[in-house]
Amino acid sequence: MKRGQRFKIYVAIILIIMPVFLSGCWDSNELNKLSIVSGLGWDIDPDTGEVTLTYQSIIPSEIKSSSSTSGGGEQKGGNPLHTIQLDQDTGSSPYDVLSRYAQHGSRIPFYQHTQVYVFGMDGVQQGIYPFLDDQSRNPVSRPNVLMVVSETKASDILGIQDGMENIQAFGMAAEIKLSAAFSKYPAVTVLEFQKRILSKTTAPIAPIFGIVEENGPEGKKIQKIRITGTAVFQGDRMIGELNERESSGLLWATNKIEKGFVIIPQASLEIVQAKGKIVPELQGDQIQITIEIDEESNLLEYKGRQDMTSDILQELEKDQAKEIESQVMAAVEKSFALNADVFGFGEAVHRKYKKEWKDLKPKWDDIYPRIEVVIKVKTHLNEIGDINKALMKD
Amino acid sequence: MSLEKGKISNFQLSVLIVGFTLGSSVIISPGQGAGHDAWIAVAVGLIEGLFIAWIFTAVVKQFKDKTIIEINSLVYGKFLGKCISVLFIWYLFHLGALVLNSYIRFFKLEIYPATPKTVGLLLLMLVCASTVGRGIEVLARCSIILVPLTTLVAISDTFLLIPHIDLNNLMPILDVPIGKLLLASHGAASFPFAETVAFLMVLAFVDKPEKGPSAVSRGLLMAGFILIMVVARNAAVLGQMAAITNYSTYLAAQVIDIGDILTRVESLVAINLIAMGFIKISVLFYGTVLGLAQVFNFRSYRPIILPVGILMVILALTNTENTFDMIDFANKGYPIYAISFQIGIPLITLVIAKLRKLPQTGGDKV
Amino acid sequence: MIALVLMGFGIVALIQIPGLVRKQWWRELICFAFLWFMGLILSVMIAIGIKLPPISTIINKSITGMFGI
Repeated sequence: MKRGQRFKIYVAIILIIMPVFLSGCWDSNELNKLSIVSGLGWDIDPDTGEVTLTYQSIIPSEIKSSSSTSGGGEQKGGNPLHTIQLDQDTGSSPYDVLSRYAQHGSRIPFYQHTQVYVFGMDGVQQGIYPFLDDQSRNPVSRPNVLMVVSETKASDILGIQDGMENIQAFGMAAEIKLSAAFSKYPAVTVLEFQKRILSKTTAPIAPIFGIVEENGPEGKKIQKIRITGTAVFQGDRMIGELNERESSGLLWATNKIEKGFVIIPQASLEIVQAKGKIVPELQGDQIQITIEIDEESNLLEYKGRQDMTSDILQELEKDQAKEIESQVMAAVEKSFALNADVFGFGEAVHRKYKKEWKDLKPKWDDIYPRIEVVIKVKTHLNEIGDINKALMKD
Repeated sequence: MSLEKGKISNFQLSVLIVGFTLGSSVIISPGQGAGHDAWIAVAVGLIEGLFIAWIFTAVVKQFKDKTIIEINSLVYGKFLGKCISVLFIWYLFHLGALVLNSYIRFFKLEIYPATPKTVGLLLLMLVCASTVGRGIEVLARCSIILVPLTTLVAISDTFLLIPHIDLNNLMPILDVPIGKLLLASHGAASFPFAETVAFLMVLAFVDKPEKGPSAVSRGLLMAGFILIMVVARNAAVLGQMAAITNYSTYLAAQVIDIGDILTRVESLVAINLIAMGFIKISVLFYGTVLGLAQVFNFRSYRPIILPVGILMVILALTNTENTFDMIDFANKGYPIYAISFQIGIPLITLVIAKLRKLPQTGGDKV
Repeated sequence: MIALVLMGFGIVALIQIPGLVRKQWWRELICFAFLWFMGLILSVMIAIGIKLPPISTIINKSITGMFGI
């Protein structure tokens, strides 16, 4: 039929035209025109207030499946294991800098695989708000990127090759997550940071990376990066830091302990499970916070050279509890000294005492250091390991 | 009633209503003014929406098998009835343009920054036009496929986010002052629940008209539960960020990360928007062209589909001067503007119909 | 851009008008032509760059003005 034929012609025309629209040609991103940014570093010059952004971009052709160890490769050029390239730009605000990428790069930056944002020490002391606003508003950014503070400059940290991982920023991200899993230092994503800033009483935190020099093969000095502390912010400025014990104490109190170890003078124990709870009590004007910690552990190492008895077990449990308590207490005292509510005590009070919170919130800076903190720790030692008698006895 | 020969079952009607209500709410969460109590606002809005649905389904129960256009002509007389019908059609048309606007805003911001808005809108409109041209049955059948998929994505997203849910973010409950909560719930009622008043054009084609109203309630309840779950989950995951983000479902989906393998699931949320936006726009489009055809006594509504579609795109493009005006309108003007169509027209029509004891056999025209 | 608009509207007319004329559906043809012209004029205005009145903003301003929000 004539109508049937015409119909077929129309369908044929549509089928020919459709792929033009369906391939999204306006927004096409060709892989070989992209430079995948794996890490972004942010430094502010204290004198001029200029912002320097360091991009760590991946060079795809250098990613090989067999990892060859050849010392530490740093900047671009002349090194067999350089899988990354660093670029820097300076300007007066984040987007002022980002827009200059075209001046030295041959590819469009692609931020969807960024693993870490590193902030230089100068930058965090001045305040990182413009960056935070960009992060929240810009549709390109992802909420899961990890925040890191650098002891010196961000560009230094991003340049140091860490042997095991192919791409440095991926290695850094894995390192942060590992240290959080082993209950040493918190892993803070952008979303976590944003939530803490939005709650006007809680203090944002971020782990700090520093550079250590070690002796490498052939007596050469290699540089490695390590997490050395937790930065404490007030708003968008860094005001202090928590050391290793204090960071662990923070993780105990905020229920972020997963695996890890408790080291006491006579033994080392492996943490199986731990729960931390913050219970606020409001008595008139005085706030009392009870931090309840419940922990289960296994015995790994015992230095006592005695056979295990249930008395010794109970001793160990008590010592464990004391150690955990002192870690948490250290964190609490440091946070009082800095007057920064890193634990979220304010939000805990808010949840329980809705009406009173309206009056307490504006005075939180005065109230916080006067809070009474009581720490209650319960520990259980589950397993004593493979042997039940000592190898050598006194 | 030769304009539309199709019939849809009650189940299809319910599913169509779920698809319509989820519409653009899969991206723009309702009840944002209430902070972390948004889910309570949505629940209260659901109740208000059910109440409004009861009113307008009562109108259809009075006059079986007639769309609101025909009912208006019977109740108000031919001339006044057609004027009121034109107003109602304008509401459907305007709402269609608003949905197109939010749809293309999201896509242009997050996914296709370089594509011109016109192209995206025209493509979507052409798909809706082709569906509308084939009648309400085809639309209902499309929704039977699309809506369960969307529901599946929404529920599985919630499961995937369980590691990141912190119920403390939802507390304290009822923290927001009651005034703000009621405002937010009225906002949630007018967008999206009471917008189902558009189904006054569709309810006439249900094969068992007595069961029509209960199908509408079922659809609203189902969509309401899904929305409450989504809004509560967004607040639990994002904490206070949910109150300041424009697209909280999308942001929450970006957080999903299972073993570094299952990531970037947010594209499924965008696909949800495509599917549900398509259904909502098609229903509104259908209502507009069918309504116009009935007002002018056409023999078929097919010829005017394309021009109306193009005009809808034009309105979507020139609706407001900038995004901020759009948000302002959605928060302040729209809840009041919509009341007149969602509650006003059905209620007044119902009251007058009851007073005049319509319908009578033999027809009684002024 | 204007050429594209004119082409587009021409195609729409080509698809619809022959059918309507053949079936002698004058009412539908008039309505179609009216809507078609409105669309054509508005699209050409957008293509040239003339700003069309933002309807939602106008509605919003009148409502907030009336109720003083």
